[in-house]
Parts: sequence; C-alpha cells; structure tokens
Amino acid sequence: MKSGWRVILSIVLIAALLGAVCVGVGLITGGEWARIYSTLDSRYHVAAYVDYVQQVIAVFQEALFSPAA
Amino acid sequence: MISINKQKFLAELGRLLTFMSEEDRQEALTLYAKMFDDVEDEQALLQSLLSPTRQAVIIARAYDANARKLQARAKARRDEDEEDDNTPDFVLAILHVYEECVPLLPEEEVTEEDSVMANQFSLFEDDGRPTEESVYEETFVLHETPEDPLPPDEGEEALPEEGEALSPAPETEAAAETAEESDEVDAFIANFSIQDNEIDEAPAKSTPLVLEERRVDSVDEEEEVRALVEDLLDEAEEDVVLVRKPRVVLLVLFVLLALPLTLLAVGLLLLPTLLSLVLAAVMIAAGCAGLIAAFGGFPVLADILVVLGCAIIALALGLLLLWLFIWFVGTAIGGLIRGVIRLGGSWCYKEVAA
Repeated sequence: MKSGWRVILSIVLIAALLGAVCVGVGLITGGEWARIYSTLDSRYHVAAYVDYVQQVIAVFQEALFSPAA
Repeated sequence: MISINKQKFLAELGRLLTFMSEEDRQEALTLYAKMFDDVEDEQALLQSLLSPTRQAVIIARAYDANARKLQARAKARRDEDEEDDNTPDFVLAILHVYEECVPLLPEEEVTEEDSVMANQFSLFEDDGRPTEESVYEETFVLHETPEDPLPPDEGEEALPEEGEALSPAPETEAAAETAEESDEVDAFIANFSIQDNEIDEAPAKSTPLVLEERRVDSVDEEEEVRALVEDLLDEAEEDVVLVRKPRVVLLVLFVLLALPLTLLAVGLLLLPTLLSLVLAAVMIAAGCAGLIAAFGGFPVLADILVVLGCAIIALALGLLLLWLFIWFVGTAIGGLIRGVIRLGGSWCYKEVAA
C-alpha cells in the first residue's frame, strides 16, 4: 500500500505539473477564459448544468436550514 | 581449510540436531562425546567424521520424530523398573559411525598369539560375535560412569564375560581338566572373541578409500543435508499442534458489543469512501470531456493548451481520489474489520496443546 501511494502521488504530481505548464503556456500565448467558456457552453451547455446545480443546492439549503422546517 | 575441534564439532552438531527431542539430542551428543573420548587422535576422528552436517544427516535419516514420540510416551507409561530393550535407530546409526571411525581393537595390538586356528573358530560360529546392540552397550553404556573411563583397549576386556557366557566348548574339551585349565580356556576364548570382532572390523579399516570418495561428494551432499535438516525442522514445528478453544461468555459479550460498534464505524467510514468515489468519477469524466473538447472544438491553439492543461489536472485529481477510495475500502474499512476480528480472537480464544 505504501508503494502504491508513492506511485500514485508521483503520477498525480507529474500530471498536475504538466497541466499547470499547459495552462500557463496557453494563457501566456493568448488564451482567454471567456472565449473558452463560451465555446464550451455552445458545445456542452455548461451554463445549463451550472444553473441546475445552483438550484439543487438552493433547494437543499431551504429544506435543511429554513426556520419552518 | 577451517580448523575444527571436538567442542566446535559438538556445538555445530547440537545446533543441527534441534529437530530431535531434547532427550534424544543429548543422547546423540553424549555418544559423539564418548567417541571423542575413546580415540587418541582427535583430528583423525574428525577427518573420518567429515563434518557435523554429514553426521546430522546420518542421524536425521535414521531418526523418526513421530516414532520416538510414541516410544517416549509408551516408555513413560511403563514401570520405571522395566528396561527398554529397543535401541533407537539413530543410536544404531551413531554406533555404525563409531564402528567405522573407532575400531574396537587397534590394529597394532593384534599379535600372532591371538591368531585362531580353524577348529577353534568353529566353537563359536556366529553366536560369539557381538551384535551392534551389545557393542553399543559395552562401548557406551559401560563407559558412562565418569569415575571409571575405559579407553578402547580396556573396553575389550569386557568381552571375555561374553565369551564366558557363550562357552559350551570348554565343557566338551576341558570337562575333565582342572579349574585352572578351564580358566585358561576361557581366557583364550576371550582373546578369540576379540579377534573375531577384529575380523568383523577389518572391512572398516579400508574406510580411508571410502572416505576419500565421500569427501569428493561432500560438497553436493552438504546442500542435500541442509535441505533435509530444514525439512525435519519444519516437521518438528508442525508437530506441535495448538487448538483454539473459545471462551464462550467473553465471545458472546464481544459479539454483542463489537458488532454494532464496528457497523457504526464502517458506516462512518463509508461516507468519505463514497464521496471520494463520486468525486473521482466526476473528475475523470470532466478530464475526458476536456480532452475531447480540446481537440475538437477550439480554433485557437492557446485555448486548446488551456483546456488540455485543465483536463490533465482533472484526470490527475480523479486518479488521486480513485486511489483514496481504494485505500478507504482496503485499508481503513478492511483494517478495521480485521482488527476487530483479531482482537476478538485474542480476547475470546485461548490456545491449548492438542
């Protein structure tokens, strides 16, 4: 199990570093979050999922923490 | 070449004979110690014995631990006054080694006066020849009184008694003779019986050639010997059978208390376990979606790099969460259950010999 932890953490650290480098290089070379978000929204309807999650959280909050309950 | 002496030999042999019962081991070591006491040239004996390991395997081949246990139990049940006539096989094996390495009569003591005519030889035939067990008794048992140690040439004097007991010949030839003549005949018979023994030992005198061959094979046999001794050690350990007997009251109490507590703890541990599983699934799904989107829907290379970086980070976190889930299941929950079972085993069971 200890060697498993070592292997997994090594892979995760290397992948995270690689991802961070990619993000950094992309942002430096002209990448924009707004453009990316709009592209993803048009393709995967990200805004709809975000709205759905926000509504679910609000319903749970009302059910659990409202004074009437 | 490693120099070895009697003490080192016996110490090494004692270490190798741990598969035997303590009583048998001590007996074997005593016999070898006597063997050393009975020879003048210790180094020659050591060369003849070759190595403690070789002697250990000779004993191991002749030693049956289960049979010895049964013999010991049977002997313990018998009256103490009753003698045990069965000489153990391993003692006979040591005796055989003794006969090979320590001749009962040194060769230089054989004189022409001791030579026997053919008609005298027929008086005793095979009956006068000492058996292995009788030689064992004369050689070792009679020597066991420490205040009266007998060297090998003195030990031969014990044989005339045997000759006396087995001598019907003086009755045929010296019946009419006087008592003194009868004693002379008995003395002659005693000499003869020793010579007969010496004749039996004659093939053993040629052992140097055999020993040379054994030395050639000794290196190969060392490994075989080690393996055999290790097997015997394992068998000896396996012979001790322990049976677990439950303490019923404690066991019932433990089950009543431990079962709900363990279930509660497992339930608590299941929350982070399932949470890590869900998060891992979400992360891995998001990472895969990001990878697909990065190579399919973005016209700008910079945006592709950003999305690719985010997807790799999401996959890395997903892998970490998945491993966390496996760790929770295997180590945390499994370890808790195993620990409770082990605790119950140590508290509620006792081990007794079968």
